[in-house]
Amino acid sequence: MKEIALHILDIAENSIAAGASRIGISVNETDRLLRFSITDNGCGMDRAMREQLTDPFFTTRTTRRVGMGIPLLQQHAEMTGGGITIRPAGEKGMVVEAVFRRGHPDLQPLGDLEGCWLLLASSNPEIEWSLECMTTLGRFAISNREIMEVLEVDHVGGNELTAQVKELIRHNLELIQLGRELMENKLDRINFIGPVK
Amino acid sequence: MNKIKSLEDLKKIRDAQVSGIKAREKGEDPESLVSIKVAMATCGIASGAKETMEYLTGELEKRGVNAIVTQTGCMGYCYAEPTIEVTLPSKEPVVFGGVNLDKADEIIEKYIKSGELVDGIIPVNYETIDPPRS
Repeated sequence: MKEIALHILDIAENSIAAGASRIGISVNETDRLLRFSITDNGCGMDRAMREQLTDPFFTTRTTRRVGMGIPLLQQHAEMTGGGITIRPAGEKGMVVEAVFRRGHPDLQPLGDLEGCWLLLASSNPEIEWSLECMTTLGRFAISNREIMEVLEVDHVGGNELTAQVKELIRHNLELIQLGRELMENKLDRINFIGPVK
Repeated sequence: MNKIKSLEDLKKIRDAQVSGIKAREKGEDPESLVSIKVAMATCGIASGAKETMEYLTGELEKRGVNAIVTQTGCMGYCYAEPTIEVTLPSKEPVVFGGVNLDKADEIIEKYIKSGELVDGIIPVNYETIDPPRS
């Protein structure tokens, strides 16, 4: 995975597989930490299964014997001095939360968060998707229901307005400067290495 | 075009375009649609399935092909990600492996538009090296 947004896309697929009807993605950036969580109301899992999740050789699927999603996320979070927690949400469902330390050289860029969210929302219109982003500068939240209501369509994406919805989200993420510093870090690192000949 | 800053801006654009969208929706008949499934498990995503899917959705729209692009889980061909399954109307599904943006373009132009087979097909009778767990 090259971007944190791709981890989010990957982990959210688990929530879809768990039969969730509501999936919330929230990204929270403070001065020192970047934290994201994915909350669903799917079938949930028991303690024994939860303990096996971080084992790359555990998977519920039958097409192959490895399940790398959670282990890769864990590795990346721990690499930056953070970690992940997986716990039940309410009566049903799960929360997967990952914490990364900002400014750490191993921290990947946040990436195309709006693209990943739109991809999930557009391919799974029967699910209620929400996105909430918070930084020290402000908060931005949106849901696919909200967009569908305003646009009077029965699904988000897959039509001429996808690019505009993406622009709307991107503009608002820029306003609260989500993931901005990560990009600056990356540039610092490139400068540090010097020009490649 | 002005920047889209809020849902209100979005609504204005939508109102301007609404006639176009309706016309297209009416013309959609499920039988005549091309169906594409993009494998989007960890292996797929790490190999660029997100870019492939966004490209397919955008290009099919631009090139006027009536298609539904959806996500699916791992098809078991992790070595050949990104993989996509293309089902042309009243034809058997065909799975393509290693679908980067160039390949996706070739598949749209040759297979989807004119039914011509291209390299990269994963045969249906192929099974994974390990027998699937029951």
